[in-house]
Amino acid sequence: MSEQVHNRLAVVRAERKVSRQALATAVGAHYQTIGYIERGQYNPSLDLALRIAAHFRLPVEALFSLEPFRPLTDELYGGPADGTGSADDTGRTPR
Amino acid sequence: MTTTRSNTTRYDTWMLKTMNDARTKRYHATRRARRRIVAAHIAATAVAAAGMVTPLAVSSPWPLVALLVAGLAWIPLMGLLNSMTRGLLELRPRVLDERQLAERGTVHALAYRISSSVMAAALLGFYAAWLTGAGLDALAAPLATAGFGLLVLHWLLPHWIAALRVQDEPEDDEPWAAPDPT
Repeated sequence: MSEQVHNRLAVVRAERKVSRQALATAVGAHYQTIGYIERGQYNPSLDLALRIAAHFRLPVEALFSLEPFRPLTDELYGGPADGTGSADDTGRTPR
Repeated sequence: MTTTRSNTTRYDTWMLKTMNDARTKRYHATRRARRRIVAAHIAATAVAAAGMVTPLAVSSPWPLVALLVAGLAWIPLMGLLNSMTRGLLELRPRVLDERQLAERGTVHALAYRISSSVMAAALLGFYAAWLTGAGLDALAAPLATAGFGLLVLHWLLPHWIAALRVQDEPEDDEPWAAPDPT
Protein backbone atom coordinates (compact mmCIF):
# COMPACT_ATOMS: atom_id res chain seq x y z
CA MET A 1 0.00 0.00 0.00
CA SER A 2 1.30 3.42 -0.89
CA GLU A 3 2.23 5.55 2.08
CA GLN A 4 2.43 8.66 -0.05
CA VAL A 5 -0.73 10.39 -1.12
CA HIS A 6 -0.18 13.55 -3.09
CA ASN A 7 -2.70 16.33 -2.95
CA ARG A 8 -3.31 19.80 -4.26
CA LEU A 9 -5.63 20.79 -1.46
CA ALA A 10 -3.66 23.93 -0.56
CA VAL A 11 -3.78 25.14 -4.16
CA VAL A 12 -7.50 24.55 -4.54
CA ARG A 13 -8.27 25.99 -1.12
CA ALA A 14 -6.33 29.15 -1.93
CA GLU A 15 -7.95 29.45 -5.32
CA ARG A 16 -11.42 29.13 -3.80
CA LYS A 17 -10.45 31.40 -0.88
CA VAL A 18 -11.56 28.90 1.72
CA SER A 19 -9.81 29.09 5.08
CA ARG A 20 -8.60 25.98 6.89
CA GLN A 21 -11.14 26.67 9.61
CA ALA A 22 -14.02 27.00 7.17
CA LEU A 23 -13.07 23.82 5.33
CA ALA A 24 -12.56 21.95 8.60
CA THR A 25 -15.99 22.99 9.85
CA ALA A 26 -17.59 22.02 6.56
CA VAL A 27 -16.10 18.51 6.52
CA GLY A 28 -16.25 17.83 10.27
CA ALA A 29 -12.55 17.88 10.99
CA HIS A 30 -10.19 19.91 13.15
CA TYR A 31 -8.57 22.85 11.36
CA GLN A 32 -5.13 21.48 12.22
CA THR A 33 -6.00 18.29 10.37
CA ILE A 34 -6.46 20.27 7.15
CA GLY A 35 -2.94 21.64 7.61
CA TYR A 36 -1.57 18.16 8.32
CA ILE A 37 -3.17 16.88 5.11
CA GLU A 38 -1.82 19.79 3.07
CA ARG A 39 1.69 19.20 4.38
CA GLY A 40 1.46 15.46 3.72
CA GLN A 41 1.80 14.64 7.40
CA TYR A 42 -1.52 12.85 7.42
CA ASN A 43 -3.33 10.86 4.76
CA PRO A 44 -7.09 11.33 5.06
CA SER A 45 -9.48 8.43 5.09
CA LEU A 46 -11.59 7.80 2.01
CA ASP A 47 -14.54 9.25 3.91
CA LEU A 48 -12.76 12.52 4.67
CA ALA A 49 -11.20 12.74 1.20
CA LEU A 50 -14.64 12.36 -0.38
CA ARG A 51 -16.12 14.98 1.95
CA ILE A 52 -13.37 17.42 1.02
CA ALA A 53 -13.83 16.72 -2.68
CA ALA A 54 -17.60 17.12 -2.35
CA HIS A 55 -17.13 20.45 -0.58
CA PHE A 56 -15.19 21.77 -3.57
CA ARG A 57 -17.53 19.98 -6.02
CA LEU A 58 -14.55 18.22 -7.55
CA PRO A 59 -13.85 14.55 -8.21
CA VAL A 60 -11.64 13.13 -5.49
CA GLU A 61 -8.88 12.39 -8.00
CA ALA A 62 -8.64 16.12 -8.73
CA LEU A 63 -7.47 16.63 -5.16
CA PHE A 64 -5.75 13.39 -4.18
CA SER A 65 -3.51 11.08 -6.16
CA LEU A 66 -1.01 8.31 -5.65
CA GLU A 67 1.13 9.96 -8.35
CA PRO A 68 2.57 13.48 -8.12
CA PHE A 69 0.39 16.12 -9.72
CA ARG A 70 1.60 18.01 -12.76
CA PRO A 71 1.95 21.76 -12.23
CA LEU A 72 -1.33 23.50 -12.95
CA THR A 73 0.39 25.80 -15.42
CA ASP A 74 1.54 22.77 -17.40
CA GLU A 75 -1.99 21.39 -17.43
CA LEU A 76 -3.47 24.72 -18.52
CA TYR A 77 -0.89 25.90 -21.01
CA GLY A 78 0.83 22.71 -21.96
CA GLY A 79 4.25 21.59 -20.93
CA PRO A 80 6.19 18.56 -19.86
CA ALA A 81 3.78 15.65 -19.43
CA ASP A 82 6.29 13.30 -17.88
CA GLY A 83 5.15 13.96 -14.33
CA THR A 84 8.47 15.45 -13.29
CA GLY A 85 7.06 18.86 -12.45
CA SER A 86 8.04 20.79 -9.41
CA ALA A 87 6.60 19.32 -6.26
CA ASP A 88 6.00 22.72 -4.69
CA ASP A 89 3.97 23.93 -7.63
CA THR A 90 1.61 21.01 -7.41
CA GLY A 91 0.89 21.00 -3.75
CA ARG A 92 2.60 17.62 -3.58
CA THR A 93 2.93 16.64 0.00
CA PRO A 94 5.42 13.84 0.48
CA ARG A 95 5.04 11.91 3.67
CA MET B 1 -13.98 8.76 10.00
CA THR B 2 -14.80 12.36 10.69
CA THR B 3 -16.27 13.78 13.84
CA THR B 4 -19.88 13.19 14.74
CA ARG B 5 -20.56 16.61 16.15
CA SER B 6 -24.33 16.08 16.09
CA ASN B 7 -24.05 13.92 19.21
CA THR B 8 -22.17 16.51 21.21
CA THR B 9 -23.47 17.81 24.51
CA ARG B 10 -23.09 21.32 25.87
CA TYR B 11 -20.26 20.02 28.03
CA ASP B 12 -18.50 18.65 24.92
CA THR B 13 -18.88 21.97 23.16
CA TRP B 14 -17.57 23.90 26.16
CA MET B 15 -14.62 21.55 26.58
CA LEU B 16 -13.81 21.72 22.86
CA LYS B 17 -13.85 25.51 22.97
CA THR B 18 -11.73 25.58 26.12
CA MET B 19 -9.13 23.16 24.79
CA ASN B 20 -8.85 25.14 21.55
CA ASP B 21 -8.62 28.54 23.21
CA ALA B 22 -6.20 30.58 21.12
CA ARG B 23 -5.09 32.81 23.99
CA THR B 24 -2.45 30.34 25.18
CA LYS B 25 -1.09 29.60 21.70
CA ARG B 26 1.86 31.95 22.02
CA TYR B 27 3.17 30.15 25.10
CA HIS B 28 3.74 26.89 23.22
CA ALA B 29 4.20 27.99 19.63
CA THR B 30 7.70 26.53 19.27
CA ARG B 31 9.09 23.07 19.90
CA ARG B 32 11.57 24.52 22.38
CA ALA B 33 8.81 26.15 24.41
CA ARG B 34 6.80 22.92 24.41
CA ARG B 35 9.79 20.95 25.64
CA ARG B 36 10.34 23.44 28.44
CA ILE B 37 6.72 23.21 29.50
CA VAL B 38 6.85 19.40 29.51
CA ALA B 39 10.09 19.46 31.52
CA ALA B 40 8.59 21.91 34.00
CA HIS B 41 5.48 19.76 34.31
CA ILE B 42 7.54 16.64 34.94
CA ALA B 43 9.54 18.50 37.60
CA ALA B 44 6.41 19.88 39.27
CA THR B 45 4.84 16.42 39.23
CA ALA B 46 7.96 14.87 40.78
CA VAL B 47 8.11 17.48 43.54
CA ALA B 48 4.38 17.21 44.24
CA ALA B 49 4.52 13.41 44.32
CA ALA B 50 7.52 13.53 46.66
CA GLY B 51 5.64 16.03 48.82
CA MET B 52 2.73 13.59 49.07
CA VAL B 53 4.82 10.54 49.90
CA THR B 54 7.51 12.01 52.18
CA PRO B 55 5.20 12.96 55.10
CA LEU B 56 4.54 9.25 55.57
CA ALA B 57 8.15 8.87 56.73
CA VAL B 58 9.17 12.34 57.92
CA SER B 59 7.29 14.55 60.36
CA SER B 60 8.29 17.86 58.82
CA PRO B 61 6.02 20.51 57.31
CA TRP B 62 8.37 21.16 54.40
CA PRO B 63 7.14 18.33 52.19
CA LEU B 64 3.63 19.75 52.45
CA VAL B 65 4.92 23.21 51.55
CA ALA B 66 6.69 21.69 48.55
CA LEU B 67 3.46 19.90 47.60
CA LEU B 68 1.51 23.15 47.79
CA VAL B 69 4.01 25.16 45.75
CA ALA B 70 4.45 22.42 43.14
CA GLY B 71 0.68 21.98 42.97
CA LEU B 72 0.20 25.67 42.26
CA ALA B 73 2.67 25.45 39.38
CA TRP B 74 1.30 22.10 38.21
CA ILE B 75 -2.24 23.31 37.50
CA PRO B 76 -1.44 25.98 34.87
CA LEU B 77 1.24 23.72 33.37
CA MET B 78 -1.36 20.98 32.95
CA GLY B 79 -3.58 23.53 31.27
CA LEU B 80 -0.80 24.38 28.85
CA LEU B 81 -0.27 20.69 28.07
CA ASN B 82 -3.96 20.34 27.24
CA SER B 83 -3.86 23.53 25.22
CA MET B 84 -0.89 22.47 23.11
CA THR B 85 -2.48 19.07 22.37
CA ARG B 86 -5.89 20.69 21.77
CA GLY B 87 -7.41 18.40 24.39
CA LEU B 88 -6.31 15.26 22.60
CA LEU B 89 -6.51 13.17 25.77
CA GLU B 90 -9.21 15.07 27.62
CA LEU B 91 -11.95 15.45 25.03
CA ARG B 92 -14.46 12.72 24.34
CA PRO B 93 -13.80 10.73 21.17
CA ARG B 94 -16.96 12.02 19.52
CA VAL B 95 -15.54 15.55 19.28
CA LEU B 96 -12.18 14.43 17.89
CA ASP B 97 -11.62 13.90 14.20
CA GLU B 98 -10.00 10.88 12.58
CA ARG B 99 -6.44 12.25 12.73
CA GLN B 100 -6.81 13.15 16.39
CA LEU B 101 -8.22 9.71 17.20
CA ALA B 102 -5.31 8.08 15.36
CA GLU B 103 -2.85 10.31 17.20
CA ARG B 104 -4.48 9.47 20.51
CA GLY B 105 -4.10 5.77 19.73
CA THR B 106 -0.43 6.23 18.86
CA VAL B 107 0.21 8.20 22.04
CA HIS B 108 -1.49 5.57 24.20
CA ALA B 109 0.43 2.78 22.48
CA LEU B 110 3.76 4.52 23.12
CA ALA B 111 2.84 5.27 26.72
CA TYR B 112 1.73 1.67 27.25
CA ARG B 113 5.07 0.40 25.96
CA ILE B 114 7.09 2.72 28.19
CA SER B 115 5.01 2.25 31.34
CA SER B 116 5.06 -1.53 30.84
CA SER B 117 8.85 -1.42 30.72
CA VAL B 118 9.02 0.72 33.86
CA MET B 119 6.62 -1.62 35.70
CA ALA B 120 8.64 -4.66 34.65
CA ALA B 121 11.85 -2.96 35.84
CA ALA B 122 10.23 -2.11 39.19
CA LEU B 123 8.98 -5.67 39.59
CA LEU B 124 12.43 -7.07 38.83
CA GLY B 125 13.96 -4.62 41.29
CA PHE B 126 11.67 -5.73 44.10
CA TYR B 127 12.20 -9.38 43.19
CA ALA B 128 15.97 -8.85 43.36
CA ALA B 129 15.60 -7.11 46.73
CA TRP B 130 13.51 -10.02 48.01
CA LEU B 131 16.15 -12.50 46.78
CA THR B 132 18.83 -10.64 48.73
CA GLY B 133 16.84 -11.15 51.92
CA ALA B 134 14.75 -7.98 52.24
CA GLY B 135 11.55 -8.70 54.12
CA LEU B 136 8.09 -7.44 53.38
CA ASP B 137 8.34 -4.96 56.27
CA ALA B 138 11.43 -3.38 54.76
CA LEU B 139 9.88 -3.31 51.30
CA ALA B 140 6.48 -1.95 52.31
CA ALA B 141 7.38 1.73 52.02
CA PRO B 142 9.30 1.35 48.73
CA LEU B 143 6.44 -0.75 47.35
CA ALA B 144 3.88 1.90 48.24
CA THR B 145 6.07 4.66 46.81
CA ALA B 146 6.75 2.74 43.62
CA GLY B 147 3.07 1.92 43.24
CA PHE B 148 2.13 5.56 43.64
CA GLY B 149 4.85 6.64 41.23
CA LEU B 150 3.68 4.14 38.63
CA LEU B 151 0.11 5.36 39.00
CA VAL B 152 1.24 8.93 38.37
CA LEU B 153 3.35 7.79 35.41
CA HIS B 154 0.43 5.82 33.97
CA TRP B 155 -1.77 8.90 34.28
CA LEU B 156 0.56 11.58 32.94
CA LEU B 157 2.92 9.86 30.50
CA PRO B 158 0.41 10.04 27.61
CA HIS B 159 0.10 13.80 28.16
CA TRP B 160 3.87 14.26 28.05
CA ILE B 161 4.22 12.13 24.93
CA ALA B 162 1.34 13.87 23.19
CA ALA B 163 2.80 17.29 24.00
CA LEU B 164 6.24 16.32 22.69
CA ARG B 165 4.72 15.02 19.44
CA VAL B 166 2.92 18.29 18.67
CA GLN B 167 4.30 20.00 15.57
CA ASP B 168 4.66 23.68 14.84
CA GLU B 169 1.70 25.20 13.09
CA PRO B 170 2.49 26.87 9.76
CA GLU B 171 2.32 30.61 9.41
CA ASP B 172 -1.08 31.89 8.45
CA ASP B 173 -1.08 32.00 4.65
CA GLU B 174 -4.67 33.04 4.35
CA PRO B 175 -4.81 36.82 4.18
CA TRP B 176 -8.38 36.62 2.87
CA ALA B 177 -9.57 34.49 5.76
CA ALA B 178 -10.76 35.64 9.13
CA PRO B 179 -8.47 34.66 12.01
CA ASP B 180 -9.11 31.21 13.39
CA PRO B 181 -11.51 31.48 16.29
CA THR B 182 -9.75 28.63 18.06
